[in-house]
Amino acid sequence: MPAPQQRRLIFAHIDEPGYTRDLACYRKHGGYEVMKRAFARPPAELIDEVKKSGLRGRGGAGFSCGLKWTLVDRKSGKPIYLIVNADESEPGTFKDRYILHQDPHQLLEGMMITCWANNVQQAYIYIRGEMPHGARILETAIAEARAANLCGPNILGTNYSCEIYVHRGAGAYICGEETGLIESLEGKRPYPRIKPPYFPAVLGLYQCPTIVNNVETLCHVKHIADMGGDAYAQIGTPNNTGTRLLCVSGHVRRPGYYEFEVGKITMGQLLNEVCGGPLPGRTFKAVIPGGSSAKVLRFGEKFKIKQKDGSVVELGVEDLPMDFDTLAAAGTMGGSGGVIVMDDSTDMVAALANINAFYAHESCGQCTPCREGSLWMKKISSRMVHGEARPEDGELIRTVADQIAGRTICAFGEACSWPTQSFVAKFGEEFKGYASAPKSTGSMPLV
Amino acid sequence: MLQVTINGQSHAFAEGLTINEALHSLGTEVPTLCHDDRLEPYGSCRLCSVEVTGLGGLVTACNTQLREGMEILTHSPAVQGVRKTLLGLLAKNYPAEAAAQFPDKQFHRYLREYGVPAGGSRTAPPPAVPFMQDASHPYIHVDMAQCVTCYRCVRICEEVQGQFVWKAWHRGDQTRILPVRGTTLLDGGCVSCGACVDTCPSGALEDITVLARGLPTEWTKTICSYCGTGCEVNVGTRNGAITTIRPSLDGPSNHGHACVKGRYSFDYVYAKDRITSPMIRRDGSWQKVGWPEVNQFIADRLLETAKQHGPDSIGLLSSARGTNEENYVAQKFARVVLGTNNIDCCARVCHSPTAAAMKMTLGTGAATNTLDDIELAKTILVCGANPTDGHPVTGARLKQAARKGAHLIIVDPRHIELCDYATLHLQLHAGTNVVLFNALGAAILDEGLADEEFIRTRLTEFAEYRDFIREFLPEKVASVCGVPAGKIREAARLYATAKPSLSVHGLGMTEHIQGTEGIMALVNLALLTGNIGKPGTGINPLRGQNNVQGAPHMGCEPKLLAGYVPLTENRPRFEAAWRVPIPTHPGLNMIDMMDAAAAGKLKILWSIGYDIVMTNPNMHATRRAMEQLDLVIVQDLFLNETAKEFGDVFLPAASSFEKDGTFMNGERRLQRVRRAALPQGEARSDWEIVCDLAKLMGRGEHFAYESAEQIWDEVRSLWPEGAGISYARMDKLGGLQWPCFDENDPGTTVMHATEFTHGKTTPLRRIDYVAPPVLLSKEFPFLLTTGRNLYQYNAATQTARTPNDRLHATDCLQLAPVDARRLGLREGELVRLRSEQGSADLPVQLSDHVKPGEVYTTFHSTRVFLNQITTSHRDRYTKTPEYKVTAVRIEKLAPVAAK
Amino acid sequence: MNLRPATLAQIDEVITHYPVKRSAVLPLLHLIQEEAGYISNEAIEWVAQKLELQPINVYEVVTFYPMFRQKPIGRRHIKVCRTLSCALTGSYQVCEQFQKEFGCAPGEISPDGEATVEFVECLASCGTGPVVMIDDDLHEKVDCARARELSDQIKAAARARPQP
Repeated sequence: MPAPQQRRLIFAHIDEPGYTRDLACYRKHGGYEVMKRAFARPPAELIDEVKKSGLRGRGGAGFSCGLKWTLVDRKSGKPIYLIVNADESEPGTFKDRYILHQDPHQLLEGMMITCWANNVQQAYIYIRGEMPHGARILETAIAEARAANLCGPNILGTNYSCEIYVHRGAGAYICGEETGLIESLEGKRPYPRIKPPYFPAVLGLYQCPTIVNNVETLCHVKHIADMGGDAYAQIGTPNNTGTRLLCVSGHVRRPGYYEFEVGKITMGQLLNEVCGGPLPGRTFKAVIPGGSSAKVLRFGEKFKIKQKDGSVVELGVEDLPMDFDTLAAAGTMGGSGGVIVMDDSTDMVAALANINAFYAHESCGQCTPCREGSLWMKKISSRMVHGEARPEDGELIRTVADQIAGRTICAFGEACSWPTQSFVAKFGEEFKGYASAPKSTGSMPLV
Repeated sequence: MLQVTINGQSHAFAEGLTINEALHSLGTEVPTLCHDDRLEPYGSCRLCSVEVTGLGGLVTACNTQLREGMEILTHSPAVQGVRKTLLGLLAKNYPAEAAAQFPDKQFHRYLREYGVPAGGSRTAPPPAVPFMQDASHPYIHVDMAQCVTCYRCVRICEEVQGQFVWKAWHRGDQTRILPVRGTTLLDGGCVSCGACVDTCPSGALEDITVLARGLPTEWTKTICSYCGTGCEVNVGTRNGAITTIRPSLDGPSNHGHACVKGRYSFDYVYAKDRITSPMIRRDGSWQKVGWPEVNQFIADRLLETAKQHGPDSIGLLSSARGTNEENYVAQKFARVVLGTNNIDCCARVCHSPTAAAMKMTLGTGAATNTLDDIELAKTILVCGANPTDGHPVTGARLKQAARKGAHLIIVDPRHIELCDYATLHLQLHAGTNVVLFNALGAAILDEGLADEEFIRTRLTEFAEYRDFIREFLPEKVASVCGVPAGKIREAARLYATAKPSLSVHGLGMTEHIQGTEGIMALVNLALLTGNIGKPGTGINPLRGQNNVQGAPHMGCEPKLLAGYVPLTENRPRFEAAWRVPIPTHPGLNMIDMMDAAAAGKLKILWSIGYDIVMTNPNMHATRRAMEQLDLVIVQDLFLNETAKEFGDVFLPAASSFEKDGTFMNGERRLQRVRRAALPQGEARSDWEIVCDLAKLMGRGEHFAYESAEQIWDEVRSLWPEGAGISYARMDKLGGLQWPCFDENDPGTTVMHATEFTHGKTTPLRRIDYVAPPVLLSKEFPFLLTTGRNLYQYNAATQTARTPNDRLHATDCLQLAPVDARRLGLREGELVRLRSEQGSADLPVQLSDHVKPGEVYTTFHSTRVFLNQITTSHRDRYTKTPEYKVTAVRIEKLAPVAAK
Repeated sequence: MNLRPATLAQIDEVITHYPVKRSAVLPLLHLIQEEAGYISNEAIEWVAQKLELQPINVYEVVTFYPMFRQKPIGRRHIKVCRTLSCALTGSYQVCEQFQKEFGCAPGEISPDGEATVEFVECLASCGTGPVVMIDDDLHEKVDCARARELSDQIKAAARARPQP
């Protein structure tokens, strides 16, 4: 079956010739009109629209956005904060970069609608430290919007005020974890908070109720407010509504970012048709579907996927529709939409060592399993690649991973263990092979 | 109640517990490295993970709330496996030698129990980011190669002490726990409370004494012998000698915390210059003698002098450092054996005005509330006290209260540490307390913030007070007390409206000519706003010494008998019990005794645990008085300054680690003092010394005590408010607060709830201001005020004989930089401080904490001898000396003198 | 601390963005590093005072985030992405190329003081790997040849700069 056309909501204008990131251009394309209409509606109605839309968070966990908003403590008497998680740092993910750099007002409009809906009067955009231009672009956009009375005090005569500030990170993956991000924004070490009791919806920024949403998620909010939750829910597939940005990197001919209705395109269509297939002379070996912490899929493996009608079908990697639920059923996740492709030239042990080095570097050090375990996994996989593999290493590293996943304060434990668990489980022969022939077999050095 | 299944057994629990707390109540231990009951749950070590059916795997017991129907497995193969893996990860590079040296340390014990070997070695090469090693602190040894990164030191320093010394640096596996600037602990602002060592589960932080002497083999629960907070501590001994002291986790007034004094300053017990045999000075030199000889010598002289000059020619000073039992025996000795009421104690130089004022206004001369109320109050007035130095455990609680949102209002001429946490600092001129408190009262009425209901039902003379206080409206008196009117009003509003409001105060309130009246003015504020008789309110003196509440309460007061009752009305009751007549006329207090000595009327002075020369103000006047005495008996651990200069007889006393008894802390709590070590040499408990002498002097039948408990039982038979406080109950409950009328009475945490001790109502007192007699002059242009330092205690008899002396080596003169510039003085330069009374030499310390024109110092050092310059002015009611205000000048010394 | 008036003004302005001053730690450190090139101990103490914090509260933060440097670096800061997608497309060779060009090990200042080459974690531009950031600018699809070109540009700029 041929791949469907891209359905561009978020990326409607990005890459369009002549489309610039300034306010004038954005308004020429209808910008802030949705916000104006939204401001004429009671906030509760907008929350309802988002609930009806079925929107799931695009940051990685796929949590229901409407539910997240519903959990916010609105009786505390304390201010409610919105934080935009623009700390895009899951390896393989680079979609928000383009929104921030090329269409900042779309984010701002989505934010303002969210703020109105949730009575937020102060919002922060926490942007990766490695995007200094992005931060400046956002600041300029905010200044433009403020000058046009689209944010700031008494917006458009509504008597409603809301300030937006940009806050730059400084190179820490853990700040993508929402409570780590909150600590960081408070000027502290970004140690994730224990839950209970520190659920952001109740005890977030400055111990006030806080909503933390991903950049792309908030852009979807604008489109939901525009077309209505019911209409939005018609896009995509049930429980996996709307469109989503997919970013493809690694060994394909046309890596890049694409926007499709969720679940309407399969992995095979995406990689073979949209991205042009493997590099010349190569075949696909493995793919990580949702950022480097998602479990790897091996081409050739089969998944038994339960259908809506209760029947079970067997699907290969190429047949998997790119939606949250199917990928979860296949034992991995849609995560942040970062698809990393590895072809037959890839040394899977070295690839895992590369991933493990990343997570060991990014462990915040707060809890024992992650701090000690991520280091240990890095050490073992690294010694394997450096010719010191021991026969038991493959199993050892997997045992360590098994004791970390689900044992940590935040989801980092899973993030750093899933690669090891899945790489060893699916490419066990390569790990075994290292013990007898201890040298890298790949064409590119990865560690 | 919640029904929960734990390891297959069904249990019922109250709601609101964590899984860990529930397990704890069953005595089921799950291992943990990051949890400590004193701290908020942190969940970082993950060792306390347990299996909960239905929650999808493992949860940490420390931060997970118990829920109805949970099925918990604490030691299933799954969790045991996780624990073993985690311990293995932590032990990979952990020095095996350390684990072997102290096998019972928490982490080491887990390694043993889970069969995990420590895989590292002390000789291993240091990692890229090295581990901190610091042996420069006198008490705390740091070896972070043994750190298991549990963050307990970081959190206890922050959450309990409020000091923020330890922090995590770097990240991931390179995370290192380091003090500020990453150098040494002392550079990092450590206040040496030892909480980090106490909580450390591995060998990273350890007491130097433990490393040198070994872990204790026995623990004795007792009460700290320093300030009036009354911290319960566990004294660890090995081969009969003290090796460490740890705060008791269930200590009712300290809840598991201690300070540098209570935790570490115990080595004076083993000081080389401790005197452990009786001595008599003959022909100018001290000679060791046996107890029989010295007793006979004293008995003869006492009898002879009493016969020749009358019993009132003898004075006895007891000590607020001694137990209640010892103080009771001392006053009984004066009254029964000597036949005089000339008995006093060192409360005279500190909180006598508090006791007197509160007795007059509220009916009881003691704290109205409890230290735990600090956590309940929304506004806390801190008056003339520097708790972070003087009462560090209470100081830490005040800091924590402020961090959690309570308003602190500091009344102090100086910027004290708590000012950094305070909402307001009323920086008044020293000696103007009455003005400021009246102004607060005036502002409360002026703004209509008083508690009308309380005034109507509990107070009298309101109209008179209202008319009187108008003259003290803030705008009228701001210039007198030096606090802007707006600030006074702001403070009045907070105190009167952000309730409950509580007040704590120290010697900055009492050591003035209007000490007693200042307290009455303060009490008025509590009365006006109804901040009394309720949790989180009240007037709460921070008593200076461990038993300064108890010593006068036991009758070491010339006008009062045990129970703090007037001699005049209660004499018959005591005569009936003691079966001897008690002299009818009130005796001399300590200040009177000095006057009587100077006048040649007092012939013998027996001082138990009190260094008169060092402590009393105006040392030259003290010396002149002491010179007149025929005989001076000093009972102490050391040849203190009084003994050195004037002592004729020295009686070696046991330290509080070496005896049994009780102390009464500043919140009316009686707690047990227990012998942890045998007395050194021939030293004996004060009560044993006194009783033996009584026997020798023919009054043996009145002093036939075989234990401290027998003495205490006599005390409570005579003191109805303490009747219910038995040794057995104190042992069981950890202490009881009087009033406690019988053995079913739980004691009293909040006094005056429905009526005052002396009746339903009390009058508001109209306190006029009397300016201090010292007026600054051209000759003496600076106002000197005095206080305490964290590391030394009073005359430093104990603390100067411990490594604390390294931490606070000398008293320094704190001087505003602008004054220093004007006088051409540099930091550290030695100056001579001169007053009308005398002079003292000490180094200058430039400080923003004093106002220009005012200077400040401590009076601990025998090298400085600050009391050479303090005055003889006294409180008008209690004769407590005015240590807090002296007019001085600062003289630059010639360079040669500065050497 | 000698900061430019413009920086000081920015610092004062950014503090107003937060209800709690402590939140301004990261923005202040960024501003100071942008001006001074690195964060000195003096700067840490200054920030602490400015935000009414203990100095240790700034140390614990500075040492956590890899973007903050406590030592000076070369005139240009070359950051090559090390993480998987870029590694799959050749970033290890690219990083080596830059090191060769400037004659220095990762993290060190080149002998001529022109550059510090660092191998860093994900720069969030995985689709155009290998990516390299030179100071604030992102360079995409940098292969070894492109690395040589970029290095040459830096060296040329250095030569063109008037010598002191």
